[in-house]
Amino acid sequence: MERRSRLQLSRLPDITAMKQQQLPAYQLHFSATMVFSIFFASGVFCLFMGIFLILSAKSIQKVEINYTKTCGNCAKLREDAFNHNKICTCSIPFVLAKSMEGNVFMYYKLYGFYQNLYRYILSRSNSQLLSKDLKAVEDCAPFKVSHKEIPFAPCGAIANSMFNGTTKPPYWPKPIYELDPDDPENNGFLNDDFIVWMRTAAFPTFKKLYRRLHRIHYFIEGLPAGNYSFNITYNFPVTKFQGEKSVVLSTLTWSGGSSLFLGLAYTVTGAMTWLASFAMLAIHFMLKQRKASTSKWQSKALKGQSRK
Amino acid sequence: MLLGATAIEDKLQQGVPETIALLTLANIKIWVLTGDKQETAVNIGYSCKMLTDDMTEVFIVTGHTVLEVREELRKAREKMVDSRTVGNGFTYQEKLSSSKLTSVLEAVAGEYALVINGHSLAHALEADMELEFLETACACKAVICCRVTPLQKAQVVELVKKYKKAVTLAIGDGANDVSMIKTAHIGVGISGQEGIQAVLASDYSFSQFKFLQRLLLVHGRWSYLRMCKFLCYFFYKNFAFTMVHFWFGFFCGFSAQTVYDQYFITLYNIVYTSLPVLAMGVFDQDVPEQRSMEYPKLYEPGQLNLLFNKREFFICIAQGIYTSVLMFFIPYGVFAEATRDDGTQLADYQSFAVTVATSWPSLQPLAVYFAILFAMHSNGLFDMFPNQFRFVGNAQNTLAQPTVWLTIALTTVVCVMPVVAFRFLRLSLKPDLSDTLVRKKQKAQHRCMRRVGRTGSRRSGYAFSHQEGFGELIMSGKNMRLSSLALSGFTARSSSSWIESLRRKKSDSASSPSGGTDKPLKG
Repeated sequence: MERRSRLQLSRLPDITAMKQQQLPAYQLHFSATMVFSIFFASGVFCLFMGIFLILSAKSIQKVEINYTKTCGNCAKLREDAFNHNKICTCSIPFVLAKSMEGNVFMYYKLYGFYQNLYRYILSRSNSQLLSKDLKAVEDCAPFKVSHKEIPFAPCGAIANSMFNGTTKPPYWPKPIYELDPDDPENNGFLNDDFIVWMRTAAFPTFKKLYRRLHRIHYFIEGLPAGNYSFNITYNFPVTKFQGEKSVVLSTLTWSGGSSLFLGLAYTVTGAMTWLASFAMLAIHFMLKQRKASTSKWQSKALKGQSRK
Repeated sequence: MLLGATAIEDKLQQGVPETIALLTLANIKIWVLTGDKQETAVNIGYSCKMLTDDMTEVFIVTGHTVLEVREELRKAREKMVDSRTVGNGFTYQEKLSSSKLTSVLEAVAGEYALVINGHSLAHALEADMELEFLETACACKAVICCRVTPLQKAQVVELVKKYKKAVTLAIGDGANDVSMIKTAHIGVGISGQEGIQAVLASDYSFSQFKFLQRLLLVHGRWSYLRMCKFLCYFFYKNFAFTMVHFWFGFFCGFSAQTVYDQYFITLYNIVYTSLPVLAMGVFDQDVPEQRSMEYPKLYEPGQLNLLFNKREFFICIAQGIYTSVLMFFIPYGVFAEATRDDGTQLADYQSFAVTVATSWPSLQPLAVYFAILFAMHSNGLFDMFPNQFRFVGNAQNTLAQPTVWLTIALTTVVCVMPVVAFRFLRLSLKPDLSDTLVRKKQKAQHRCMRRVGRTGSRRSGYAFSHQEGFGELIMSGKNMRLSSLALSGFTARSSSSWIESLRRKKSDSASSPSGGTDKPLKG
């Protein structure tokens, strides 16, 4: 007897909660009250959020002018790369019916320019841009070195295709240190336009910040209503790849931008959640009634049987 | 004059009849393959309640030739079929073909048992008769094979595996069970008196037969449940994750640009989504363990392969695709026209990546994700490896935008709500047993499920001989040298009373529902 008990002890498996599958567990079960309260609460939240977002988006003022083809024959001129020395300008008038109050931002918007292409995004050298190693141009193929074996600064396809009135390496008419003749701080790799362009966009239709309204003198409150015109130096060729470009003037709110999508999406979600919760409530009550009626019938049947 | 009597007590382990009854309720067929002689095997069958006295019939197949065995099996089948058709008033005259046989035998009325000897089994396992034997045996509630050699044990298991497409489990404790344990899908060895050969050959081993019910109904059932949930979730998350790239392809010129930061992709399966999956696969319980043991009917989904089959797989995939659509197109819709609150662009590639990637952790451990995210996007790493860690500072910047958080919240809500709605509706309209059990937490005993016979005391069951054995022979004094007069008088009196008391005992035990403790025979 003793020997057996000793043997048993030696072969006894561990009696821990983990090994004996006796850990405490909690099962999330969907009770009616919980589900309905969640659905109603999220429906209300989504609806209100959506309406709020729509209202704030509507309060933004935006002016977009697509000047791809309206700038004289600049588009046609730019299709031929040999014309890059020829300057082409135009002036596009527009009218502001209402004044734009607050900060006004100016963007350039491109359509059909795929900054999110795989090889394009790879083609840059962050070490060079950080000035850690100006000669590190391996990733920038095919825009690594010039025909004189001098590495480009900045190298890469992203830099090469920079949107500006003017472009360089190898299609830049001015070198990087001369990008901004007015402000000596805004040259080299720290040039604002350069940095904005190097931040590749996620989609083929994108807009990037170009300038901000300098609120002095007459424009201290924003852009007052009236007649304006854009003077454009048309340099960036877009018609060759069926792209388009436009200039956008816009104000801002806390939610950023005039897109109605988020507001609409929230409203729709809120509405659908509410509809779904009403539908489920109806089904729930119908089931309850059916259960109650069948149990009543069952108990009646039993009573009838017992009487007999 | 009777000088003495010997009785050999073959104790069953504790809890064996209850285990067998519970497993039968769980739709598990139990066959006994033993090397003991027929009487012992039958007695053990009675004592562990595999065979009961109110069974319609117990067929005993002891033929020594192929023809005899075939005849006996045929008679057994006829009797089973006849009992089914007695109510209708028809009788089957012609011999049924084997295909018809299966369908007929599946609906026999009454409970039958089959006892077959080793030498008959040798004939029954021949190629032309094995299917017949299997059909007959499967139509019976209990099958006991006695005087079986180890090889035949393996052959029987092999037969069931081959034709029945069922999962087989073999449990044994001796070296003669090793071949059977190895042949079955699951081999269980009982470590104990007979040594550890069975244990060494088995997949699972424990010390008492009654632990089998916990192995199957708790550990086995949960293991199946967890595995199925794990698989579903794994396919879902990878599908959702990868299909986002498919949708992005339409917008990036199909240039195979990834939506996420490459380190997110690398660490996705290893770090971000491994913990919840593992936790679910190791710890998930749908019903508390006591309920699992009380309700053997919960075992059915595993047997019927209900939790992970083609349908469930496609549902997983569909959910993954739905999630990927939402996870891409909602941020896309927002970012197409969005700006930050300071006017700069929001829709750059890296911010989009961070937003989509952050939509994920609404379902994953947030802390791990954010810790790694901020580390990856930190200046330190960028300083060290500027060409590897390109997403410098993005997390801090992007996640400071309220628009981004609103996008993430919307994506989460739209992903989760339909699932919650579907589940709730399914619970209301078509709850299965585990769902109802989860709700009924507070209820006390349930009568209908416990059909196990109550053993009042904790003593193990005893097997005793149903046959008369050699008692009468001894008492007749034919092998003893005493005065015939005294012997004859004594014999007549005591043998009749002995037989009558035996008959009385048999009828008593048949009428009372509980087995009670059957005392060994007393002279």
